[in-house]
Amino acid sequence: MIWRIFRKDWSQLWPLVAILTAIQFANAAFWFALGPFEEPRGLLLAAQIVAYLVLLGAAVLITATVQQDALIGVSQDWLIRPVRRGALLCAKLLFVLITVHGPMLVADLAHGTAQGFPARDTIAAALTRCAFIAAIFDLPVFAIAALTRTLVQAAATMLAIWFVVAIGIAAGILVRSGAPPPFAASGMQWMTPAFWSALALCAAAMIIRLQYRHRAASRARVILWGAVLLAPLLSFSTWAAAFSVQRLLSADPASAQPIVISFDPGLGRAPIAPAPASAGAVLLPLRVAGVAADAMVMSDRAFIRLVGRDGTTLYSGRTTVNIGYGDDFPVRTGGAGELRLHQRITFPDRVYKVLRAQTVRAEIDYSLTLFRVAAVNTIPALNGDGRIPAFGWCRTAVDADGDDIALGCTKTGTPPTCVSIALENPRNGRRNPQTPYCEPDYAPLSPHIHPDALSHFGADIKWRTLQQLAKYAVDGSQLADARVSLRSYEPAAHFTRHLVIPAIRLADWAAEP
Amino acid sequence: MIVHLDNISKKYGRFDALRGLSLRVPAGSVFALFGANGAGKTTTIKMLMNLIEPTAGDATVLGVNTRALSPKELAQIGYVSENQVMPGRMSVAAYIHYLRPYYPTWDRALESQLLGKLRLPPERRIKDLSHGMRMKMALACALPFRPRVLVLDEPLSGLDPLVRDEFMEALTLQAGETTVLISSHELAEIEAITTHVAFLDRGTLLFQETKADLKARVREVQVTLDGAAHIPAMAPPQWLGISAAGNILSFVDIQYSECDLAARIAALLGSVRHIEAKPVALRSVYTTLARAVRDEEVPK
Repeated sequence: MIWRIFRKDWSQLWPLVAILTAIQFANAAFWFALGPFEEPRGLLLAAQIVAYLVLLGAAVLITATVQQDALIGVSQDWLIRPVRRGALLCAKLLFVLITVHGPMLVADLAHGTAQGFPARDTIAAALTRCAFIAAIFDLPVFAIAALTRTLVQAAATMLAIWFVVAIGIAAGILVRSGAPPPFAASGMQWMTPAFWSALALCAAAMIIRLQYRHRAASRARVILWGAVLLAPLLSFSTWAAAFSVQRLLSADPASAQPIVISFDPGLGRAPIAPAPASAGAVLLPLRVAGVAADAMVMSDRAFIRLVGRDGTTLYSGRTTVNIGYGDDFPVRTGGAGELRLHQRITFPDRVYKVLRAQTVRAEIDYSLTLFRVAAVNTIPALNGDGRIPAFGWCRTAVDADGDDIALGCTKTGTPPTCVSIALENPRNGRRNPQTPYCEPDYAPLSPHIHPDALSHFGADIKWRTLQQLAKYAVDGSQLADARVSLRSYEPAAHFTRHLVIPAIRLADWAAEP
Repeated sequence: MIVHLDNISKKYGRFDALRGLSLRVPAGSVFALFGANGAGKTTTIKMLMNLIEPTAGDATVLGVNTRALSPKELAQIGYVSENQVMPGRMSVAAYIHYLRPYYPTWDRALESQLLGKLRLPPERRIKDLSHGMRMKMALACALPFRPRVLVLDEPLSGLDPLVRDEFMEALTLQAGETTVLISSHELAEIEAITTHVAFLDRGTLLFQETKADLKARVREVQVTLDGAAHIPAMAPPQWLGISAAGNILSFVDIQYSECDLAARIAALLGSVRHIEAKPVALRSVYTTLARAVRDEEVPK
């Protein structure tokens, strides 16, 4: 019966299947043609559009497949036929699997093979992509299609879901007086899509079961909108609660135990403000000890509390107003032992004006992540072309402006999210400063699903400025001998530290010239 | 009973589509369901097919609760509705080919006979068929497996006379071996094959009986009086559609009894010259009753 329904749907939908298959192969062809530097720009734009068309086309085909034998309504012919509901569901799922994921898998395998990746890596990446898209995209779309009769109704439902979730998130921002969601621009950003995916998967499974078993549309709609209303829930959670979950997921919690952060007045005031001076900014001297060699510490968030002599809290808030990865804490790369640094803390102007001359007690709660080196590799700076573990197939070239070495890498699966890159000359031992590219992802499972099974990673490494203002140790004359050093980092431990400074006068550490 | 409804109710929000409806359809009968638009005929039929669930009460078809109708029972039930949506891009032949394996009792010879009689173009896509062709298509998909029950919901609506004839001819191919439940306003066409009738009004059953009993108790009566005819002020409630013209008084007696009609008329109208009581066609029964129900004068 399953095969019979499958063939019936095929006879109805093969033109749509053909179009989606063409889009999927066009997607793979575009990304293949773009190469590691993703040029020209026009082709990149086209490829990005086609990548979204793949998802749109898949959504349309899934919806059409389900609605061939719609579950909503009373006039569909199949309802009065001796069709087993279980067989119908299996036939629909099989159809989606074969017509959406068959071409997707083949296109991904073809792309990976054409790029010269080993078959095992290519198959693993393609299967992972298919599995995750099936779970977090296909099934929710399938469930919505099972609750609607037409493509327009399904599209309107998806828009309504998006609108309700957006309203929920906006409400969260209002509740936090305009502050962004707690995990924004942090390695814990994965929690929101992971929560949404889990919610969507659970709701979809329940809706599909209810609809195909009982055609209980009212109950299924309650589940749908219940899940939609729950979706913004995480944006109302606190950073501390989320970070405590993240700590439980640490790969090697013991590695962070030796790390100590202390107030280090001996370091003195910062000789040069590391950022433009601000009336409300303080550059706090700190000593970070116990960091292992070739490790890196990133402050995910830090909250400061200023307490008066009588024990009352005078101010409490984040140490920075910026949104960004580790914005308020310098990233440490290389070396071992201890690090002395100035942490920039920004207070609201009115708070700073009132408290700057007072002696207060400062308490800082840090949420930190220790990274360790996952891979260290090099590639020639000029016209390098090689396969590098953790980075994939990489190439280098001087960019069009002539002031950067452009590095472009293509890799099966997920790209590295925390990398440090430097230009070095092995002949004379000279080395330019490391450039960190670190937008970490602390997700325990981070599949790469868009735009295809191959991920693309790129960076520009400066060796001169167009105005010739900066002097680099490795300059243009050494490019022929130079190489690009690549270090990728992975999170080892998420941990917290509580720093107490019993007495401090903010004005003593002001970031004033 | 092959179809049995027991105190069925169906609510759509605050609207009561069915209110405590009970029906019994005997095996082998051709059971016609009458009623004005909105009386609850289609709701009743959709509930029997488990397309909608009753709010209260139980219904059984082939001895199985309609809420639990399984492929086994559905393989023995044919259904034709004016609103039936079939896969539009499939051809007539392809869809019949698709359906065939679902029914263990599918009769290829009967299928060929039906397709010939109904003049369906096998290669034409279903979406390109006219309304009449689609109804014939639905019938062609409902009969070849020789269903034990055939449920027809307004099958003749919107069909031209020629197509109606073809439809009825195809239907009569199986008369006698199938229990038919039919809801239709086209009473003239179905009268010949109907054996039982039920009349619904605003979700309740007004009556259910055999066609023979109904036709025996309903008569169109013309009374020729000596003087001018007037509509009597105290006419019996079972006299419906009373009209007076010249010296002739006409009405439909829904509790006709040959033995006491003359006496009742004489008692009410006095001297009577002639009384003529004629059998009434099903269509006239329906229109008289429907009009009376609309004007709320029918005795319950």
